[in-house]
Amino acid sequence: MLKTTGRRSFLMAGSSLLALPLLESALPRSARAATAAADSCFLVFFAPGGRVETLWHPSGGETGFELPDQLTPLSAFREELVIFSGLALHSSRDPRNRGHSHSRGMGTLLTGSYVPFGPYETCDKETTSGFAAGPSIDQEIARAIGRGTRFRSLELATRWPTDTRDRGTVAPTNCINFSAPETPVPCETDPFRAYQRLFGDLAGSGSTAQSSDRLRRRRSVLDAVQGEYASVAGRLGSRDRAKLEAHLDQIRSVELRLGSALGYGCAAPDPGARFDHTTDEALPRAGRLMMDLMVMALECGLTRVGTIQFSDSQAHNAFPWLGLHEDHHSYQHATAGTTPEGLAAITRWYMGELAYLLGRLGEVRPDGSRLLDRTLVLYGSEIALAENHDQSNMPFLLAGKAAGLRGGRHLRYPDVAHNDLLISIARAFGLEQNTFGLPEYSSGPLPGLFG
Amino acid sequence: MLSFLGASLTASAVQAQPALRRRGVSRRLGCEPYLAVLGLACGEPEGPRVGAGASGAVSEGVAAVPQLDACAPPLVPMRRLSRQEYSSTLRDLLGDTTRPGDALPPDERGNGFGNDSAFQSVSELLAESYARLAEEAALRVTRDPTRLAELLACDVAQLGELACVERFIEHFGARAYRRPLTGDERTRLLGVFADVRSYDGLESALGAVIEVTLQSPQFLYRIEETPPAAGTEVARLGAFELASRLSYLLWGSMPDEELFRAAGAGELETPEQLQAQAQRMLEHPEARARVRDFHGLLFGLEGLEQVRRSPSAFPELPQNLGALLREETSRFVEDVVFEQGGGLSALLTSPQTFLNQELAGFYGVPDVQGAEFRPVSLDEHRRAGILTHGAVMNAHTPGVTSHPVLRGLLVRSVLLCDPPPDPPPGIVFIVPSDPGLSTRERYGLHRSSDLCAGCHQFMDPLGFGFENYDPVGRWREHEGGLPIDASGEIVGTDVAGPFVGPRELAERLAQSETVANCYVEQWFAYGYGRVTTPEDMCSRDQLRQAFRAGDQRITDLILALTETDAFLRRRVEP
Repeated sequence: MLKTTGRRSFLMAGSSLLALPLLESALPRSARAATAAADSCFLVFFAPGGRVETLWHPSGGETGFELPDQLTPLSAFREELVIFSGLALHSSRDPRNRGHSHSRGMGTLLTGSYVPFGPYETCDKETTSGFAAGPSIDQEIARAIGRGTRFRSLELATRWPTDTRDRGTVAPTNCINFSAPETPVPCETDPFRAYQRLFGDLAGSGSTAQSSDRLRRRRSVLDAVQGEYASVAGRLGSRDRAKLEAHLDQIRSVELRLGSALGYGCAAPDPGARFDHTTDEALPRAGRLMMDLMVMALECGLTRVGTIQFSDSQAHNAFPWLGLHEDHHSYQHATAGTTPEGLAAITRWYMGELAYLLGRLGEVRPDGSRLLDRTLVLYGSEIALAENHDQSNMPFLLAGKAAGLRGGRHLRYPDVAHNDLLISIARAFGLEQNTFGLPEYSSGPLPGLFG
Repeated sequence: MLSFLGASLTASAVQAQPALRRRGVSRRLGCEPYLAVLGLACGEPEGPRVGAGASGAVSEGVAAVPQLDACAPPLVPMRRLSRQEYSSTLRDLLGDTTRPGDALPPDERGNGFGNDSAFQSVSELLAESYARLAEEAALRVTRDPTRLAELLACDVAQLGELACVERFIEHFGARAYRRPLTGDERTRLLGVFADVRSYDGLESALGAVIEVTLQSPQFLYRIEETPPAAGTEVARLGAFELASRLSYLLWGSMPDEELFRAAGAGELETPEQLQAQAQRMLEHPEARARVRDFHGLLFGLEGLEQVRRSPSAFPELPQNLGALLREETSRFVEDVVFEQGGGLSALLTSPQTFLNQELAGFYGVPDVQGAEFRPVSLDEHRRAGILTHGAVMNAHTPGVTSHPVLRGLLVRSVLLCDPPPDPPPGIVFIVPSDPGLSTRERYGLHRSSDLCAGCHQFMDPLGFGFENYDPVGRWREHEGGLPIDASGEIVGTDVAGPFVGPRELAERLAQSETVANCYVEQWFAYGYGRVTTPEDMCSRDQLRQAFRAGDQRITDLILALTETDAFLRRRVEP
């Protein structure tokens, strides 16, 4: 069941991609086809709470800058990074928004849309909120490039959710991925369950004959299940019928992916012994396991789009391994017993974890290729400075070489809506659009990002 | 252009959200200055109203004269099983005690209890999880010869495979779909059996039947399709539909054999028959689990086990404090509701609780030995009901200092159903950490600034009543050498006025009609998996009356939930 043909064509695509920037640098910018190759991948790395402004944004020129304190863990990837200053979540300030700035940040970060009225949070219809009013960039990209993969996209979260008021459920304070307006994509929070989901079949697959039998049986079952949905839906009123039809669509999608081929370099990683991944102390270990799973999922071709989410916007988790025993939220607001240094240390730590992810993606395989060369990684947070819920000058990073990202640069913008960044990313993955999210905050792709 | 959750939410549910969340109390009494600054006003819900009560003011006693058929429930989207319900149903259907629902993606929060039918979108991850969990559950059954034989309950050698399988499908299918199968369903399930049997063994083919049923809408959704009488849009539920409503309300799971029998025999028709079933079901242990679950969710205790406290600030806490505290509160709730036949008042004021040795140390109670929990009477000046439990104080106090805002917010949102708005963006207020200041002094700006005071007057003075509890919930009489001042004030509501200390606060809340009505509202949301709408006015009034009449006995309220129009009837899409 392991096919090598797909792999070879990937390789060829990869090498032509690498050659592109050299060839095209002689061409006028507008003529460049800054679109990622067919096997490229997109990852989002989310960590809450923003950054300490003066310690995160570099000073100096576009290329001649020093990495400031909070970005030092990324120094090995300096030449593959684009650091952004001056991008703002303008759509989060749109008057149509409801709810608190933390959840508005969660809702707008990847959607460029707004967070409409809904039942969440507090007060009345004026300030309660729902989920984001538009789909997120990762889901749009997945719709475009995730067709042939086993999973259209993967959303893995660690130490989630942190707010007891969320009662373990998906809420605007803890979700950043949306497949459609007001349709949150729930994240997988248990690394062992994620392992089972991704590699369970692979690990215990036995012979090819056994796995093809299993495939046949799964098809039989899902066919029959679809029969049940169609039959019941026909008897219901239009609203409930629509609900079942939406469910049926997802079942079809699962069935379509049943037989997807696995990538060449694919091997189930060793998740190690089970441990309690839900505690604060477990965050570093669980987070790395999640990142390992994500990297191997890309390697195997199980998916091409994913999100690694640490905690949520409430960030009620502590960092005991850093000697920080209050919750992240307390450090964000520098409430009693916490220090501003605490917040700086937390952000630095998260940047170190991003460096770990880039390191795993950057591992050179026997054939000399690297996943990082065909991957684009977006780092973002829901807020710039939690202390006053500021959402201008947001911390954004892009890394990786997909679509020929021109790294090693610090780009400054004069308070530009982050919708333009989302447009640039969408276009890099072949989505022909001039707006993303709310059109009134979209002016077009950021020039010169990809070469 | 953008619909609110697309087609899945009724217009009336949108209007109802403010009715659940907001009672207009704080707005009337002075949250406006701050809202005016923001350019936001907490206005009344828009749209048609059914009399004064429909705007949602809990403290309003009697509603205006209902309009024609005002007791008819609203159009409600069909419900999918929550994670909890999925686990319990698989346990009762297949004897599967592995809590498979825990492996489903998290439910959406919706009405606050994660079971809101208006907030149940289906992701690919969910569809795939259902497929995987069904496969695993079927394997657990079919690989265990004893369980398989139990389930099949038929001698294949004697009757022949096909006859046995037909009987199995008839019986198992009816339990999984919670009503007798239709002819088509029988044919389709037999079809999948034959399909898989054509290339695989008996166990595998039986497993496939189980897998199909576990992923089918008749299992995953609460489908109600009994039609209304001609010319009307409101139907009384059919017997099997009612049986499911009863069992998911009272047990969070599928009907048992007796309930199926009653439904099949037409014995869920009269109010007396329904009452007898509900009473019987309330005596089942599952009803206790339901009541524990409700209060755990209501008071935000989910996830308390994961809370870790700074070992330097709190060096002497038990490692598993969160789990111990949850166990204490669960036992307390169960005891009040079921053993003492208690009311809301006991829940809010009783000093009786359950401790083991470790927790007794935490509470400063001598002479409790061993790991077993046993009944303990706490000092009634120090502890008064569930709000003063270590679990509740702990869950709502992050950090190393007490948090009057969050504690007050808890009372305001959970017990008064009147949460104030969020703070405006762009406000920087660093609470001073000067150890020479008391907590009250540290939050002084919330009083001295008009911008803050407009809303914080509804929270902080409530929270000050809990100042005798340190951040993890232990009693204290000093903070940093300063004596504790636990005087506070309830602003607004029918029990407004100053008070001193947690007991006085708890007793005042226990006398409040606003609190009682809010508690009814919360049960409505949890029990019916939705929120109240203006159309629910009659059902809500009925619940309030039943609760009042029964001395606010909680079991009376739960039983009354099975007697309302919202429970017994269903609006059908025209």
